[in-house]
Amino acid sequence: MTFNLILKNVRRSMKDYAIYFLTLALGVSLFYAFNSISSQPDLNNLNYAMELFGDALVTYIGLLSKFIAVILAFLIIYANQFIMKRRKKEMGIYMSLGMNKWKISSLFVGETFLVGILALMVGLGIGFLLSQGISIVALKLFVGNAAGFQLMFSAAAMKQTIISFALIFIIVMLFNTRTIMNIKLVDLLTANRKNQELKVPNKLITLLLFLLSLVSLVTGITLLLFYGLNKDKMTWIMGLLVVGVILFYYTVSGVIIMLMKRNKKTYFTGLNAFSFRQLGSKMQTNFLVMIVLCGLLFTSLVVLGTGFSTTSSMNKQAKASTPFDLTIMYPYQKNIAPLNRADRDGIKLRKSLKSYAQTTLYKTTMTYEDLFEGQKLNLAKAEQKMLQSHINFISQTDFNKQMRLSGQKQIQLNPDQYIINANHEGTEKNVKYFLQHNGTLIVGHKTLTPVSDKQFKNIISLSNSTITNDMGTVIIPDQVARTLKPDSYLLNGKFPSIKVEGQVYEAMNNKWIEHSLNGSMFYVTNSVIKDTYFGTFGVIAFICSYLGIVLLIVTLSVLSLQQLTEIQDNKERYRTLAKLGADKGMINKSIFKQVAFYFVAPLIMAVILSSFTTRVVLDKLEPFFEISIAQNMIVSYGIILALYAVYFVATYQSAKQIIVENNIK
Amino acid sequence: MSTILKVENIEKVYGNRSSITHALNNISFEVDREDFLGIMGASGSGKSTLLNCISTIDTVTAGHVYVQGSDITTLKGNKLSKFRREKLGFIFQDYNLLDTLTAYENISLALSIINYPKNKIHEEIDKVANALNIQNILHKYPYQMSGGQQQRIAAARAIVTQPSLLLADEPTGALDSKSAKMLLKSLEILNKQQQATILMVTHDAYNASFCKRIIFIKDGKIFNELVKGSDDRQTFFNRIMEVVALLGGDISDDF
Repeated sequence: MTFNLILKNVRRSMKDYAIYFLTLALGVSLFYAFNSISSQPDLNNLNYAMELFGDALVTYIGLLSKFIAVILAFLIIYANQFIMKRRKKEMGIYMSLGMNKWKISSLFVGETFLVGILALMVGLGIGFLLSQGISIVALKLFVGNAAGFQLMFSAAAMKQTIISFALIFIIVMLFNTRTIMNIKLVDLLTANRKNQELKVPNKLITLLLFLLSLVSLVTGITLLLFYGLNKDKMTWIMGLLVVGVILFYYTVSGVIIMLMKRNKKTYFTGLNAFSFRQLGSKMQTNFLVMIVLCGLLFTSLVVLGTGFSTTSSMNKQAKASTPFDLTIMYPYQKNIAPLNRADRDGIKLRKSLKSYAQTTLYKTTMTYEDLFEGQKLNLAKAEQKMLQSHINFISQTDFNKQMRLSGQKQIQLNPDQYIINANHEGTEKNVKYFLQHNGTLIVGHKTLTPVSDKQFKNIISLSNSTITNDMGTVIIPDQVARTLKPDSYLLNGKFPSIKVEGQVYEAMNNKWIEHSLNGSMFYVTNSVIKDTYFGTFGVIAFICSYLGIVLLIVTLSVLSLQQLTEIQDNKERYRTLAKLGADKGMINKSIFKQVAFYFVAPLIMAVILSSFTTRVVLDKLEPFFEISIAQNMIVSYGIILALYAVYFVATYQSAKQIIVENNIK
Repeated sequence: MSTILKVENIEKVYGNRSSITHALNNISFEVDREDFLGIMGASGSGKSTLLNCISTIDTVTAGHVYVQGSDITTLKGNKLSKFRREKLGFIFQDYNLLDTLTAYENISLALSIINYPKNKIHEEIDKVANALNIQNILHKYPYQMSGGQQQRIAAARAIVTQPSLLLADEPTGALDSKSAKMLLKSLEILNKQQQATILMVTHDAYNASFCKRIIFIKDGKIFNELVKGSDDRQTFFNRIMEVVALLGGDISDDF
């Protein structure tokens, strides 16, 4: 009998459950899609970068999906409360008929369970489709083509989704049970008529708090711009900004009403007085939700802004930092220079290359440690062992050959001069320090002095770890180079097309893969580098953008739900307005104003704060990419505005629908 | 005296083919300027339906309602809203004040809806507040006031636009007897001093004794009509009680 009632209830209150159901299904699908990205096989084979970052990525995705789960839980509990609110009277009737609270509670638990199971199934279905789309996009982005795309159903992602949502359901059920247990019958039956108690805030205090919020916001932003993402100051900055935002949303409606009341002309036009008061009371009761929404929006804006800026600047960057299509390096053996070796092994390298520069690198006993002796070094752990390696030397002629090929700046040295080429972020400063302070180098019994106190920053080879990778290569006059022992070959070349590049890379892999794997040979092409590049930063940027959009959708759903709940709750007020003779146009205008204000309010602070924060975050990233912030921010703000517009129109239309449904003419 | 409201043979039928309810059955009457008409009847007699039809909240099945000569049963959409805000004033049983607005703003809203000149709004509110003795509660929010005070604000809101007809639906229904008396006195004042034409629906004989004329309704038909004339309120009250007894007396036939 209870089961039948549950079934009937769900069917009857389909309309109420629609929003809850949608939220839930959307949540499930996003969650599943997010967790299943990593199961696309071709994405897992993402070259070196994935191997390097693989573990970190798995951890990040795990952490992020937990974060998303918490946010979705918040959203679902919120949507659930919307239903509970709408059905208060129904609960009251059950209770007055003598149904005990446990029974009622089990009724609602059953309904939640039923709708939850349905939403889980639908959500997994949508999520499955969604994840295929995301996989194709990701493959195109990271691997360059979606040829390796496979229809994938990730059992692991499904399991995780089901477990997470089961937990969320349990929380929702506990919430509902608690609500029902604490409820009083009289409140339920008169739920429709209950008057809202309005606190009237003191005008002076409101103004003071408002000013305080502005002061702390401005101070916080100034400090942020001044110190950047400084760890020591971060707590202070965060504190100031959070206090500023809280006070802002606590007082802003009061201040607006105060200002509006002074402007009697506007205040007493049409339903303006009503609209403003309505906003005021909403802001007063919901300022906490506003702050949470502002926080969510802020996060999604920063994450989106950073993500998009990073993604779109990568293309340009990758081009600029890979001036060659091919690099081959391996230890010197007489008469087996790369081109000869390729000929011998049947690789049509010489024919395929459009242009090339085949040069020799030299080594002495000098290591990087010797070069940086007595200096403080800022190197990652993995790079520490580089210090023991020997420094590369290259002759002026060879260096210029490479530069000619890649169209970079060439160099002119006197017989007793040298210069260092270095573009590795960690050692750049140290090289510069060496050139400016110590300066002289003894190479093969000859003492050389630097031609300038600044190092060269050219790119002399492709590499597979980071793009700007030269910790320091010493360029010496040809006469000096001749006295040194050749150490390795360096061949850089350019291909006429990507197709040829791919063919040659395949041929090299066929013949040389073992040498490559055991470390006796190094070869890499431009495309491989780009894959690597996208593989690392691309994945991060992609996840950022994805997370940003999820947060945005969640925020917009809450905003929209809240608006509709409010209008539903306040329908008596609109009915009164209609009886007073306010026509449809007037009421719609008032609703439009309220919805617009409510949508824009959390956005204002979020946009202001995020534009500064994104700037600071991108400043931090700028060593990696030269990012045109303004341009890329426009793209992410464009996406946000588009999503905003869609939700806004949908909310406004549904709000009008509520008015029509309730026969408020 | 000119006619403000003319109700002509109106009928209101609810239900479908299988069960038909005649809520109003061929009712006709007129209300002149500065009249204070009471409509009395038991629950379910159709008095609220009648008021709803006059106030355009509900539509009639047949017949016509003329307000100052124009037929309102043919009005639709925004013309209805326009008619309502310009010609009618409402007082509801549960006040229907907007709880987010102060008393002053509640009254001013009625004026801003009809685009009343902004510089005259204050003056108008002042005038009506003086008449109803509510100046000292104008700055309060509805939840800070008693029911009687709220209803007087609602009366002020209804009358401030100087409507042709003031409709009151059981205005004392939610009030204690003292507040009820104060409100009825207020309505009497509005009627006598501000020349308001009032139509009040009530089931209470004491309330009705404040009217100048009373129409009794039973089962959707006009049952009787009383005019106060030169009687004092006590006498009029006694006459009303007689009719009420007669109304109720009919029931004994059903046994």
